[in-house]
Amino acid sequence: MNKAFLAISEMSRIDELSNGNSFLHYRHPLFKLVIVISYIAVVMSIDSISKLVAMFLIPSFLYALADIPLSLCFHKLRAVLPFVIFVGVGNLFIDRQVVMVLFNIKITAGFISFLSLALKGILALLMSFVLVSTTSIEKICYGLSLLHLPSIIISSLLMTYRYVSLLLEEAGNMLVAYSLRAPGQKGIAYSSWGSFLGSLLLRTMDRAKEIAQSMELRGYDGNYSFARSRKADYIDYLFLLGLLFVIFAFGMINISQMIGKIFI
Amino acid sequence: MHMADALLSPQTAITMYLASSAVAIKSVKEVSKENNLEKISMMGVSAALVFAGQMINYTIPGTGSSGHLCGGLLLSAILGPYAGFLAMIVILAIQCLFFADGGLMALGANVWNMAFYGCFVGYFLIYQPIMKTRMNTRMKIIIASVLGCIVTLQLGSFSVCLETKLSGITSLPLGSFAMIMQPIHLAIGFVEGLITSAILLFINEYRPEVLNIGRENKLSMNKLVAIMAVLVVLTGGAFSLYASGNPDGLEWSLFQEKNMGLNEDDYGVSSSLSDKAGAIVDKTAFLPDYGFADGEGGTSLAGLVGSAIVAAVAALIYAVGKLNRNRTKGNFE
Repeated sequence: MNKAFLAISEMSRIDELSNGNSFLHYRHPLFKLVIVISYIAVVMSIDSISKLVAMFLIPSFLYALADIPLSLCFHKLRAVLPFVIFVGVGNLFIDRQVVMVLFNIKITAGFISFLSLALKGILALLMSFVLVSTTSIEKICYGLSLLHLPSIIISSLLMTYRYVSLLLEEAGNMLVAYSLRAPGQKGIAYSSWGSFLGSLLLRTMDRAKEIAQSMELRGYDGNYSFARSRKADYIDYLFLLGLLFVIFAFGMINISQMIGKIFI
Repeated sequence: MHMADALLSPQTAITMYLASSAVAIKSVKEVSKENNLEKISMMGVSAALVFAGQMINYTIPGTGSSGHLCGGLLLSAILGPYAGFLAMIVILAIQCLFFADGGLMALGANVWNMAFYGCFVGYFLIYQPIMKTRMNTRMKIIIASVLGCIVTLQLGSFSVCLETKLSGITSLPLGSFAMIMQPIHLAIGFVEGLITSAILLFINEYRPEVLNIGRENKLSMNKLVAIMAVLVVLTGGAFSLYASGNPDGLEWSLFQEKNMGLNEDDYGVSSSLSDKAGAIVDKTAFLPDYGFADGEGGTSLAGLVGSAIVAAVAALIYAVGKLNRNRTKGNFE
């Protein structure tokens, strides 16, 4: 299966997940956006490894609540970790000051900062995945519209999302057709670079014109309107305030150290 | 070149969000002025196309390796710089949300590094001036695309180095980091330029009216000043991380021995109210003196043991939730 078809299956899997019916799926999309962004901001500002480990409690709780498969999320780590490791590995070699000895292994400051970087990458990914797997793109855009994001960007985002799978399928079929006519060749040869994507681009433009005319005939005037507005209820407010309190508390208080002191 | 959240500090991320938002607001105003519904559907569908195009490997003859399309310059050549920038924002947002390619907090930085340089710097300073020359059209397209992509990717990758360094994430000196990033992105930019030029040449042959050749997008002095102002905000915000630790004017006058010589920790008129207020500030200050109260790095034994216990509890919570859900699902899996 080529990359285009793999991308379609990933997107449709997430689409399927976002149409679930757990407690988390029914919460207000704007509140979920605020929670996720606050969480990532707090994680980015934490320096202590033990505080970062404590931050795992929050996505762990949310994943259990929403029944989201962890395996699909970790599959995405392949996009996040390589560059994070590339940046962090320099710290391993440069910062060799020993900060502690554990079971006769010397742990350097460079290792601590490398581990901190990797943990932050994983935590940020876990929470972003909670957002997309419990909130459909339409609800995310509804949340963004409440933040007064311009209608042009919201319309483009929804349209791109709708047509990405269509164009990915077309590109995927073109790749299969090409590879059947060029066996053993990896990727598109230089002589076909222009015509391959260029012809798809020209067909796309004609399609865009037809789409624009159909939308205009159905009353589209450039402003995207959502059929149903979602009023936040008291459970949404409790959820938002409760989670924000926990996120900031875990960011300020070292819960792991408090628990560790009980045992030592 | 997509940056993850872990590579930025909150201050840098917010600065980049502000810079990208300023440019996005300007782009929205320019696109809205045209009042062209077809443009909006073109933006959406072209963004989807570039997204699909990024999944394709373009084999580089003679090397056995392949290149990929980024799309900033291609989109601005077809849609114009403002619509192209908005389309790139959409692409980067979908990549961030659905493919974890780039973090949510780092989206502002990614938009700046990949969309801003491609759609504005590359377009106004390289692509448009070359396309206005009287050279042969094919030569113009090839030179403009290749040069534009190389320069924009170099600027983008250097910005990544700068943002990571200013966030204090890496101990690597900026020079060494740049020495690794720049040559890689030089090669990537060259290949992307060739791919972009191949596509634009094809379009020029079959539908030349589609390209922005001859259609002028003017960059007036006011707009240039506005862009420079954004750069100043960005530099000021980001470089504040390298700000001097020396006392400012007031602190210098109050606390330096040769001046008033006051004790920094205990000066002024004391009262029970000021003591209570001070106690409240000490307890609630999240960033006392612009640093963190717990500066030990969590390396104490108590911290380690506590972390291990918390990690086990987190795993247990997830496992219990999963078991409970599996039990109640029944045959309707």
